[in-house]
Amino acid sequence: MLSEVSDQEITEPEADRGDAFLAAALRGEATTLKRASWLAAVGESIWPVQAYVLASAIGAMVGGADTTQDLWTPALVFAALALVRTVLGAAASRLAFLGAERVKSRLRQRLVERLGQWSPLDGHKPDSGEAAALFGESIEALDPYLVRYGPARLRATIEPLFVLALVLSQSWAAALILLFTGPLIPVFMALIGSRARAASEAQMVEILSINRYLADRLSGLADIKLLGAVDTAGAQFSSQAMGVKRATMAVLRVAFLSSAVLELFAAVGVALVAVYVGFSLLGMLHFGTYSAPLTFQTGLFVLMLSPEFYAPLRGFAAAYHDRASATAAAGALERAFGSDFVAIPTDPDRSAAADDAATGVQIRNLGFRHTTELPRVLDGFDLEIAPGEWVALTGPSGVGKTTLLSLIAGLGAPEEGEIAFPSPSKDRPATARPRIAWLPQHPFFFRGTIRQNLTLGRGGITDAEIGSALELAQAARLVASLPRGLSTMLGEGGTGVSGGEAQRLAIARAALAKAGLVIADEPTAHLDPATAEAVRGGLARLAAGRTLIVATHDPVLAAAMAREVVMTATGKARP
Amino acid sequence: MRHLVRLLRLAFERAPLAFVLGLLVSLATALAGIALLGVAGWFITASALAGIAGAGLMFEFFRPSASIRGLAVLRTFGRYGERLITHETTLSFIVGIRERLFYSFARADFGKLARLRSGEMLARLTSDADNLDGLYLRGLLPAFTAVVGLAAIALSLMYVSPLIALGFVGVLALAVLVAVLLVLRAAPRDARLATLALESLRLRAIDLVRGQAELLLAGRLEAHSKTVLDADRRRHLSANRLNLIEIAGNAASLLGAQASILIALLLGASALHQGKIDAPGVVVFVLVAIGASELTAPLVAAALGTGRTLLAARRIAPRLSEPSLIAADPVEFGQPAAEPGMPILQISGLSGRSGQAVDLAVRDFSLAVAARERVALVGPSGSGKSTLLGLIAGTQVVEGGMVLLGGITVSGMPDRVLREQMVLLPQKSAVFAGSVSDNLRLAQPRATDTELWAALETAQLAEFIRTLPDGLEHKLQEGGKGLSGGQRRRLALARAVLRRPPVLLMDEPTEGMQEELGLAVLSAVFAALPETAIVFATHRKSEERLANRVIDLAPAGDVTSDRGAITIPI
Repeated sequence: MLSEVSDQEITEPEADRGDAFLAAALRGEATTLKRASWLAAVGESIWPVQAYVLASAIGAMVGGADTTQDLWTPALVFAALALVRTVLGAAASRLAFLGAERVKSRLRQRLVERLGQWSPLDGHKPDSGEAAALFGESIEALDPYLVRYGPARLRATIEPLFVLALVLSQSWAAALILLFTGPLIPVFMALIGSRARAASEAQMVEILSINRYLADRLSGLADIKLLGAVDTAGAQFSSQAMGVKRATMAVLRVAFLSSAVLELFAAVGVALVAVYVGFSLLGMLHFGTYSAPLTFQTGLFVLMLSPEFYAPLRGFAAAYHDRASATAAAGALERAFGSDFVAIPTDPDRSAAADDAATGVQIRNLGFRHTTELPRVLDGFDLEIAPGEWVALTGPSGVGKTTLLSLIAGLGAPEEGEIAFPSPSKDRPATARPRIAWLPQHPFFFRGTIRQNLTLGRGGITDAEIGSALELAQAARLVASLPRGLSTMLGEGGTGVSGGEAQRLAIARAALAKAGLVIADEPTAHLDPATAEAVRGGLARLAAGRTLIVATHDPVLAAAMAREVVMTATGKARP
Repeated sequence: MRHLVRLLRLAFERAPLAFVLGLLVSLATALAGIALLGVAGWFITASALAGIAGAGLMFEFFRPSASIRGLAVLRTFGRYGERLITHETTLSFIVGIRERLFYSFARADFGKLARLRSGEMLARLTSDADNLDGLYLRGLLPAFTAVVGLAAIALSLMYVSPLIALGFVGVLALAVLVAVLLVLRAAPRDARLATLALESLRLRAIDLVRGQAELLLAGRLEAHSKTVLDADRRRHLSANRLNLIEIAGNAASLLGAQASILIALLLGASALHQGKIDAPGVVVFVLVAIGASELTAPLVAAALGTGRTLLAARRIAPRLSEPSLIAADPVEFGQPAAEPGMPILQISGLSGRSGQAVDLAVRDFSLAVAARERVALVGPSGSGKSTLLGLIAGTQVVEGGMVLLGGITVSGMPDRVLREQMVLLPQKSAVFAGSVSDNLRLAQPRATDTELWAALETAQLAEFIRTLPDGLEHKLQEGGKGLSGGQRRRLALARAVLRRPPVLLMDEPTEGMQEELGLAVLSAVFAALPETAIVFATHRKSEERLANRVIDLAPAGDVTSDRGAITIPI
């Protein structure tokens, strides 16, 4: 969107953290990007040299040197310099692009690793929508900054000085004009910038961006239609959008003043130089040079150079917005990469092989809390489960059943105590995952066919095996009733599945994995009696000969287990 | 291209004055800058010649120095005005595009609307809309300024020397035209691929987070992580080609600009030699050539942006037709009305399916409901309760049978008549960003505050709203964030009650509420709408008891199959 219309105001400490993150993310590519900046700055600084060549050529012409023959040398020099400038510019753009791409790729790689390792039990973990935004918009928002900001800043630092030095070598008066107009620009821009921030704070309170209003209305459009309220909602949207527009324009009216100041000083500076040079040449002014009076050639050169004194500042002002949005994006990334994340326990040395021999579970003195601010959900919890035993975890919601299941599955690390799998081989949660089948309360289906969702992309599973897994889960008829059977697309843009269908497909998915321990979280919640019965049947067939731990409120399911463990608020179990 | 023209016409229609003024002011500002350079160059050259001739004191310097001051001021204020006016145009355009999207989706069928609930489809839609936003500011404006500006320069310098004017402007225009055409030809494909790769990157990131536990325990986390990075690699390959295209375009454009400066110098010198123009004339040509290259500098970037705009335009162009109010739909329809003693809602032989399922979810279903009746639909999930309500309300495709409302068939009934008569509260109901009263007045724009409070009382939500500092004017976040699920549901119920429809259909109206509260809400809704015929789906025994008829849709045996309905008289 419009660079000036950034709808996120960022606070100072957040901006600092974003800056620090950006600096760290750049490490490794800093040299490349710096090199790109220097190439660009040197390339741009060729123009003053070209201007000198042009001014000399024209000066000679006006001075009366007669033949056009004289022009070929400066013309060739000018053309050669143009070529060098083009090549330098291209090289700078290429280097900056490659450096920025490597920074972005590395961030995405780190983000994939971080999100993969981030325990779902950690309350600070970004949700899927935030993750999509981090991978997409946030990292892409760094791009204009990486590519443009460095060169623009370097150019704004060195080119005005270079131009000033060149002008000073010819005429101290012209240099003085530049010197007095130039440094005032940042001062005034900063003043107006703070006014603009104040205006945006006054205007933007409680105002969402137009896009967010639109997304809000569109996602609930079915309701609006059913209420016969399309016209009313449309009028509401229009007035909200026009409100945002008015507020934005109020901010822009102030914000644009800062660029107007830049233009004003640039115009005044150039005009003063032109007038000074003109009057000197007319012989009406006799100061400003060192010995001889100002020549035409010098005057023309000084005049051609003076806009170049201001141009880099203009470029820098434009790039400054890139920095603001990059800092905001970096702030979001910094939070994701921060140190306060809880990792899923892993053991790189050793991992159990997939095996469906029934697994025993031993839990000793288990304690856990989701974030440091919250009290423990589990405290001093003990439980022993024999291989092949079926156990129901019951108790009021919020008592920590899902947390316990997640800890057994190794999706988080206990704060205290330990979980062990003494048989068939000694394992800990970090190594036992291959022998665990996981049935969450809301099974997740990826964008892909039912076949891909059931095999999770593992090769070597035949349709016949899938068919018997579906039979076991009582989902064969369900899949057969879909237009493309196993090839039906699920997930985003595909068919949706109801709660009961999802549970049965998840049972089929678990049946395809070799696992000696089945963990199921509320498999029959929110299901009607008949569907719940089908799910219970599927679960029983799946867990035959295996260990089963199920958290449930369903008395029928709990009664089907060999043992019921009632969890209470203190985290102690009552067998 | 057709799409782009249509979009620009939309920008023009939204703010015709600002649209045209923006173009003109931006052109005038650019030309003022170039003229400033030209006049200044002429001034110092003429001064130098006068100084050399010793005629310095007689030189008429008042007019040139006044022009220099005037042009400097014009350029400064022009830039400020230009930025304000063009942003005004752009913001109007942004609002206009989004209004059209809203009204166009409002006419889409319910199947498509359900897909809009997914965050990714909305993210794609808004990013497409964002890509259209720059069309005027970063596309048309620089193109117009460059083309008309170059023509103006050529024309105004023609009378000094047609050869030089056409020579340097021609070379510049040709080089930039080649650069722009090159970019326009090569960039759109890679711009499209890069956008698609980024979208697939986002989707895979979502899967990575949501499916993390399943992937990890199945040992597939690493395999999936690779697919996320694969999408990034595809994006990189396209971005890499775009960078090369950009570099080539910029090089062509820069070399063209430099060549045109040289041409101005060489042709100027030769004309001076032949005595066709004077020395100040040569300086004017060279300096104007330098200034002209600033006109064409942004064009390669504009062409690159057009690649992105084209993809976005193609994807949402069908959604950008003229917005029209539902109220403006022609109505040649009698108002449905129940004759005394006749059922207001008559359903006969209704069949339809849920989504793309092969089997019918509702088969040959018949029912008649009179005013004041309360009918409960019960049965296991998958037995077709929601599908049946959707078929009656027209949110699902009816494949057999018909629905009569007040003796008139519903199919083909204009939406505004149908929704006047019949309201469906779907299973998932939306609450919107805006005040509580905005949300309620969606249902009844002319309702008084007293009526709003009464509806909130019915939904058992008044007490909570009263505790909010701003009461009815309390601003809700997007999607009603800040309210609990049960509170959102009750707000949606209050909205439905405000409609006071002759027929009210509700799909699990008390979802997310404690059983006791649910019963209280449902009884209050029934009491508030004594004349309304109400059909509601429920899985709570206690709520069944509030109905005077219960329809069991339970199929026997396999849960996915279905049988005719059994009516249980009470």
